[in-house]
Amino acid sequence: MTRRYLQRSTLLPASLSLALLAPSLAAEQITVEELSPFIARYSSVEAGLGHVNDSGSRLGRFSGFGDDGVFAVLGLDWIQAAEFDSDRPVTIRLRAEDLGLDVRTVRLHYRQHGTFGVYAEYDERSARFIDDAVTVYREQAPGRLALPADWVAAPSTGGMTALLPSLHEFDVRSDRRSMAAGGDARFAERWQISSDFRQEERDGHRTMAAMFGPTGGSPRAAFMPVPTDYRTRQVDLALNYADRQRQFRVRYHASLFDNNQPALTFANPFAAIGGWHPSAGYPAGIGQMALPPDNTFHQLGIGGSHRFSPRLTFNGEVAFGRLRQDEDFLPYTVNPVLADSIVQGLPRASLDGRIDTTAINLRLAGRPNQRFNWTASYRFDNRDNRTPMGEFVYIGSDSQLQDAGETSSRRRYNLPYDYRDQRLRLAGNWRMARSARLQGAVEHRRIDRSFTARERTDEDRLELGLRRAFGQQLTAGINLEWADRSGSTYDGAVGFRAGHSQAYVDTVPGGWGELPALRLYHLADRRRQGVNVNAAITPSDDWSITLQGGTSKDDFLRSEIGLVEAGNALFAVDVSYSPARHWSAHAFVTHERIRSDQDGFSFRGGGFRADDLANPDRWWQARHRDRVDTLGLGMRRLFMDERLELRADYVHADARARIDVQTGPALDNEALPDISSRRHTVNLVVRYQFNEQLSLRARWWFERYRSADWALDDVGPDQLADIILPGETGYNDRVNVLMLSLIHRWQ
Amino acid sequence: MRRILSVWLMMGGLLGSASIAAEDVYIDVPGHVANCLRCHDGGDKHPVLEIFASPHAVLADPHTRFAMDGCAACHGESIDHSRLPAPAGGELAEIAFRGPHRADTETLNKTCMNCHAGADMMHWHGSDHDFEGMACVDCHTIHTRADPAMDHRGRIENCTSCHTKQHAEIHRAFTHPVREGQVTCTDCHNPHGGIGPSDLKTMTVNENCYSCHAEKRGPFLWEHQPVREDCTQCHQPHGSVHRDLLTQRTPFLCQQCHMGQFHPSAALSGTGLPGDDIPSGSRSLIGRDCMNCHVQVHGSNHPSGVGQTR
Repeated sequence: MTRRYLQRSTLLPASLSLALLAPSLAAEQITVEELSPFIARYSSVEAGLGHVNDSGSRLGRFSGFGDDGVFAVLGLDWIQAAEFDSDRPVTIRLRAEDLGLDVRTVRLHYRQHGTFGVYAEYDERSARFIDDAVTVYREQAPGRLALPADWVAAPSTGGMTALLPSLHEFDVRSDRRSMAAGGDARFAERWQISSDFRQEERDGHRTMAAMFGPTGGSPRAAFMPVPTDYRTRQVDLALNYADRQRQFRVRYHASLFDNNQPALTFANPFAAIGGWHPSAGYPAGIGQMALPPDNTFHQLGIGGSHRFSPRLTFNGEVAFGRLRQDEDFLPYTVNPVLADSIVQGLPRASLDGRIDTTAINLRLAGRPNQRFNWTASYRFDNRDNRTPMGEFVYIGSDSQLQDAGETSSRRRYNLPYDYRDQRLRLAGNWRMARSARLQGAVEHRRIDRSFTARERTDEDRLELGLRRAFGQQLTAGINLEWADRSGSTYDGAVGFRAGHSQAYVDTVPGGWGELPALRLYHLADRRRQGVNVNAAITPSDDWSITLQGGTSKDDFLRSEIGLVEAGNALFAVDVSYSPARHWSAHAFVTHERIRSDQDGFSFRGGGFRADDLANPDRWWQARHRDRVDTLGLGMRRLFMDERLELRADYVHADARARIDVQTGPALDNEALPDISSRRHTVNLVVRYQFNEQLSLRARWWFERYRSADWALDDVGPDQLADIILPGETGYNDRVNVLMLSLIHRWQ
Repeated sequence: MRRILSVWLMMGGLLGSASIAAEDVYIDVPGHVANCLRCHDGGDKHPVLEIFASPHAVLADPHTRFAMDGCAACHGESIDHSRLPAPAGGELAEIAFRGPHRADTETLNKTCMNCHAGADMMHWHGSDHDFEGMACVDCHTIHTRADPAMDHRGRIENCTSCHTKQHAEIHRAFTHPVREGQVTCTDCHNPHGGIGPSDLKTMTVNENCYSCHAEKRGPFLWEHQPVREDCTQCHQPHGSVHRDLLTQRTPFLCQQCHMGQFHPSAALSGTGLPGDDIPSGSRSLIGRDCMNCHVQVHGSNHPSGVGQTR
């Protein structure tokens, strides 16, 4: 019988040879057979059955357990790997997971170590958002939704006697199927090319409202099934160079999005009401919605890293990209009567939308000695929106004649927003002693925008951290953060003026659309302060305990209306116990509080304008207080000489959102109930190894989920007078999933 | 119980060659691997033998330093340790990756970077994890046939063991399918140093979001400015207690930026909840609230979609 021996190389360094040989004058040899239990590569196939006892849409949302009943448990992990000493070091691996569910994955990899690798993948993912949503619409033809023949229209859902009998169900879900292939290859020692080609198809239904009537006037809407029929193709190509001192990469990325359903036409289930043209109501009224347009993104990136010395490294990436979108415009209206009123047509046939992006990320990292390291980085993100502006005289949701008068509020200009974000950051990390470390960072961020209330914002940030070890068993730290954002003069009417004709703006007292005291939270002056303390305790090699507590506060200093204050607090404990390879356990607890305060002013405008603005009793405040508690427990243990494995995990997540609205005496106010969700999840896995080849695996997945939401609970499709809702409800699920399977493995 | 591997000691080359059968094969393992395995065998507290089932030990791969230097490629020559190891009163290995005598992080990472200096590692120096002094072996396990950090579920556990806040967030009511293993941390982030903020794999936040949500990329005729700027103005990517991963409950989130005349600025409270009658309730509060009408909040390409209703 041939035996294979590991043998010490004859090419040992001379010093080592002497050292090893001197004491024993011996050479060492070990048979590969004796290593085999540790180096064997096992393939496996799993087959069995599973059962879902309730098609709870929460658990099944992303997991594939969306349907009640029996499903197949099928999986394969086939691996063909050359042994470590093979002259032809090839690994082939075929992995197939969850074949019996609609979240299945198949991946095939072929790799010749040190030379090249290729792969192919097929992936299905399913997301279920609402099971059994309802609608009054029927698909008359692709892209066209009609009402039932016996539909009874009315100005309000209260008069729609055929509404409830006409409802039929559909699932709001999204199914993604993606295929990918690619690979990488080395050449010329230090060069490598890589590629990835990917195509994803997504179909299913969303639900959106088919709306009629001008916004802010007399809208009516009915939720409808909106088909998704998307395809996204992606290409990534890269040429890489790497040696110990420098790396370099040129890459190309393309993403091409196609929507096979660019528009959706729908009938109006409401009878015409005041403010609409009579033709807009049932039965003649029809509308059309634009669905996501085809678009493309191309990007060329050049990146590199250079090590000037062991103490100083530079790395950076520059990328130039272009977003394009040029889908043909839909007409202002598909209502022929309203279309006849059009005196000013579209300024062009399509958007010719284009945004040129330039992104730069540069960083210098230094480590002058063992005790200090620093970084200096600069980030630049520029989005030059080259989309042409145009004058559009829109028709409000297929319900009005075109008003192309000189002072019309419907004469609008699209706003191609530019954006430039620059960040400069310096950070240092000083190990004061073996047991203590001090960190600090200074950052300045400047953002320039067009057509927004603030052309420029500047933010300065300081960070300070101290971490210290107290012996071998305790390390504790504290981190402080302070940031201050300000900027150029705030003019909340910039977008309003730019988006309307000057003639119209001149008719508006004050020339503003939003209340001047409003400050948008991403533009407003803001002071942020935060503190975080943490500790890591290792009482022994077996135990690890981490504690974390922190709080932060955002103060929007000059915001009279809008978000005025926000903050959060977090406390977390994480414990793990791992005394041996065959036995481990963990637990975690987190408690979070998230809060924000916003102020508003109820303003009716029109004839009330002057009176309202002078009335302090129209102020209101909303105080948001969210609380989230999460508890997790888990363990894994091997018994019976590692033939029996037991794994158990439990998670409890409890969230409650409270909104407390306070109003001035001029406004009505009643309390809102809390919004809550509570989830218990148990995962239990037992695996018994009959012999080297065969094992049995049993899994139990239990989930109990309850939620309360005043916007959804006990709200039927006819709940609102002017909206036909989709019948979406809160979740109240109790789901058991059982899986029993045999796993056969072989070498 | 320690498993004792057979070691044939040959007193000299002549005697050795005479005692081995002619059909036997000798694998020329570099360095002093065979010597190391005398002690570091299958019963070691930190098992090492599975390295022979990993890419690190592929001898025919010219890029694997193990093929040239064996264990010494990573642990240093450790000559004194080879002669008399520490447990026997001798010396430690020159570079230990775990335990109380673990080498300093710079030494450890330099060892790994000697080989792993490719494009994915290009932005490691100065990255958040490098700056924090993390070592490669804090996440990766080398002497194993399957490094948990390379498995998609293992990656999540790896990350959440330190990122406590994100760990809590993925258990919130509205999340990406991270718990289900369909999305992992490394789908968006490069822990070895990303080219974008927060070590994202893309240059900007929105580029990252568009990689799965390309339908929201536009550009649109009627843009929603904060959407064009940064998706995280309104969304919490790691999980939220509010639907659609929103940072705040709508309609109040919308009212933090929209405070125009009539309905946008109205004070919404329990007065808008449904009563006993049907129909009743406020369309600004019930169902999808603002999105009952303004359905295209990510942008509209319809010429009449100014108010994001088309």
